[in-house]
Amino acid sequence: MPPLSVTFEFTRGSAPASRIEEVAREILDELNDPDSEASGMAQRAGLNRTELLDAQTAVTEGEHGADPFLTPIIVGIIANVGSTAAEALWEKVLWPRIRRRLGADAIGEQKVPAKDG
Amino acid sequence: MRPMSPYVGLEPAMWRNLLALATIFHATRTKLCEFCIHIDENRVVQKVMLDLELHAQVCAAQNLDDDETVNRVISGWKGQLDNVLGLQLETDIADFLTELRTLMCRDRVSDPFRKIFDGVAKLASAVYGENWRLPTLEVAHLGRHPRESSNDAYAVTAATPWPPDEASAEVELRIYCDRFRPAAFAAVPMLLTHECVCHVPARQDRAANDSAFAEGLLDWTAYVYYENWVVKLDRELAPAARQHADLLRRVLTQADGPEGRARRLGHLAAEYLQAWFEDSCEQPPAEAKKTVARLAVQLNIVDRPLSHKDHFVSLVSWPMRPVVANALSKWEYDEVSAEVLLDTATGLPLP
Repeated sequence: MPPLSVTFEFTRGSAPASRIEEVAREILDELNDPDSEASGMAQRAGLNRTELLDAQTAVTEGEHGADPFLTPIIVGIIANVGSTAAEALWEKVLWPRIRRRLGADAIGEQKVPAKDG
Repeated sequence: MRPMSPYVGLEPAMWRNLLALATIFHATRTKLCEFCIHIDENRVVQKVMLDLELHAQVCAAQNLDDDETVNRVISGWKGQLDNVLGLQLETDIADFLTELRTLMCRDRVSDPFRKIFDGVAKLASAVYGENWRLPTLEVAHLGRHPRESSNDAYAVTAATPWPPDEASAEVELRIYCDRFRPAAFAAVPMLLTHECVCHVPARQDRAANDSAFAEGLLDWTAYVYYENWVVKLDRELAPAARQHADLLRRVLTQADGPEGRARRLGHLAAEYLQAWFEDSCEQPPAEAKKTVARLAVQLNIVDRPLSHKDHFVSLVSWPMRPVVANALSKWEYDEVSAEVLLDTATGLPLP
């Protein structure tokens, strides 16, 4: 089964896409350590940590408009898990930690989620 | 064991930084009004403030526990104040800094944010009685000023994330740490009062920032209660808390965008209602103000969509529409409930 790709689109917040991606990668790296905070959060979210070890994220900025704050931020998660687990990985593991590190306004409101893959 | 943050939205170092600053602002709260004025106008005090911020950041990064962090920030800043006081200063500035130095060690509390929140929540619960939801406080940080374009002194905001539980709710205080100064600290009681009066016990669907009811009429009501609560909350903080609540109100009602508009419309509706109760029910102004606040609180816990409550606000004008005036009159004389008042005045079908 090919890895599933799930994307979430948000309005831009205070953090640039590159910074969000950097923090998201650090958190995913933590999953290699079963005693890490990220692993604990994954477990509490009902996720199988070992299934997430190959998970990757890509955070990009969408089309630039006249107003840079209208530029969407697109978060992509590629993982060998179902879409529900990928969504839980974002909502219960990645976003709470990104929020804590970069701020509650790091990203803006979520737009209608899109899925493929 | 590594020092922890009591709030999930704050890294431990960020928490210790905020705690150290808030502890000093709390200790020096009787002088916060002067502190704000001097920060705006006097270079020596500006430098003293920058020294405190820098020192708090350095100490917070050292992975010490909360008490030790605060101790080091206080002792370090005291030393910096001593150095500044050794310079040739204007008398009023020297007197002010000497007072700060004396005050900064007193009244230590383990969490100044929680102290304010617990006081506000207790008073608000008495207003809402059995309809109160038990609130918990969270503190988070922001990556930029909440009103970046205006760059005002109030680098703080608050929110009550939806959906609240039937019996509980979470209030989140959000702070832009780089600009957390005395004015922002003094505005915290009003921000938390807004959340507790307007959103914690609300029984409608998700509050929208453009709601003239939730962000306007109820915000006006929160200020009415705040006026009565501010000394009970903390008599020593009261003058600064009152002054900065008023200044924050001006900033927020003048703001561009839907939130500012909602506040202006809701506040205007509250003024129309107050005038109507004064005129038609012959209530003195202070009593009429309390009547409007009581009505807003009752409407807040009526289980109707927010759109119905916003529609009610939009119907309030001068002269009052007969259907609204009639409903208000019956409500005031205890002939109908707030729920019936809302349904009759708006004429909207029940959901």
